[in-house]
Amino acid sequence: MTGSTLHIRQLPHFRLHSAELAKWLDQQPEDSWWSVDGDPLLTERLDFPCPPDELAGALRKVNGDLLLLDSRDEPSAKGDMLTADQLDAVAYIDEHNDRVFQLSWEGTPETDWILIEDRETGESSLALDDAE
Amino acid sequence: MPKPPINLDTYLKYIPSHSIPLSQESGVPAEHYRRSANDAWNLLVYVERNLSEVSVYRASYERHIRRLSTMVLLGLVESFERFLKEIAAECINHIAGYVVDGRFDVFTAKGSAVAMQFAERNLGKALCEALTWCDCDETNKRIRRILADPFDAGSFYVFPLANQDPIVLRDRYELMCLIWQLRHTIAHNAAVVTGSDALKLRLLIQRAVDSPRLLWPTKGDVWYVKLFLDETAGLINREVSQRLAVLLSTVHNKDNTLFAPNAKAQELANLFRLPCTVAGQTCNPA
Repeated sequence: MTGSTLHIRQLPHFRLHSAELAKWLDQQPEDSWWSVDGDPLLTERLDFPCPPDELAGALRKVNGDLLLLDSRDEPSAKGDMLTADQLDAVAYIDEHNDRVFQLSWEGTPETDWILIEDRETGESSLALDDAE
Repeated sequence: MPKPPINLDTYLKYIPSHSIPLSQESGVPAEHYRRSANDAWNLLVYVERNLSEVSVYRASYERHIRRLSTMVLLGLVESFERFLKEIAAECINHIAGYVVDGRFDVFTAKGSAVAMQFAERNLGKALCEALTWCDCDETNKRIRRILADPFDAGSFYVFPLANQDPIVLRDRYELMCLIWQLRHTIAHNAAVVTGSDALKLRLLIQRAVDSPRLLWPTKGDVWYVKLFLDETAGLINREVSQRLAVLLSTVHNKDNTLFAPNAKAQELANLFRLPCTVAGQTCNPA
């Protein structure tokens, strides 16, 4: 996923309600922790990185529509509304095999942000739990 | 070839104008802390992840990431110190008009520092901003006095010892002292663990600490500090909100014409982002 000077709203993107993203997070394994980089709304509410259930709870509280960058090899989305069960197919997988989503809130489309999986921290946390 | 002449007098004086507006959550101490702490952590993660995707000199990469970890660790602690300062200033502003005892004598702000705050007309900031808050005993003393019942010494501690309240904040004093000492080493000695640093650290962790050495924290070390400070900030925010609400209720019980409890409860709920009850009136954050 490379950088662009354009905002997500100016690029091929999907739409997604935050509750659907929360539902998808509910289905993720417990070592799949997540970080948010750049979104004031979530970074003032949660301590990151965090387990998927904490992030899902915050997303449900915000209860808003999101724009999701179409990061497939041949992006063609035109604002199509996604549901939770479609997110696996559009998730960008980075070199660490972590999933990455580039998002913005529909109400503040000038602020793009990144939702990034942090399995390294998740696995460390579970290992610490096991050690105790 | 000699360096070209650069008008440093001009360029250095430009630096204060290179700034951006404060974010919206900066008026809420806990949210301000959380945002800054997350941003600091994200800086480390961002650099690490992106550099690991390109061809780099491994030795340089490791060295730079460790240096960045040191800076991020310092950033986390500074954000936490600012949180303490902001929460203390807000408490002062909420109680100052309703008490006549000597609680604010614990502050020794100089006239020049107060004068700089005159334009903002903010007593809390005037008393708190110029002071450092990276000392458990000093912070305990100040906040205990701010939140004391009228004409009482106070018994609320943000870093309580084993026999002090509130109970949920106990067992953090020593670890907090360790974090303040790490901050001191990074901020004042450029991360060099001096002989005196080593002695203090040895006493805090009950283990030998070598000196002189350069502090070289891992990303994991930074995460542990963040976990501890995140949790501590959350607990302090909650406990201070409750203590301030109780204090204001006490003041209101003695003179119920001083303020409207509903309005005050709403102010506190918005400030702490938690439900608050003042004199029987409960409000949730707006």
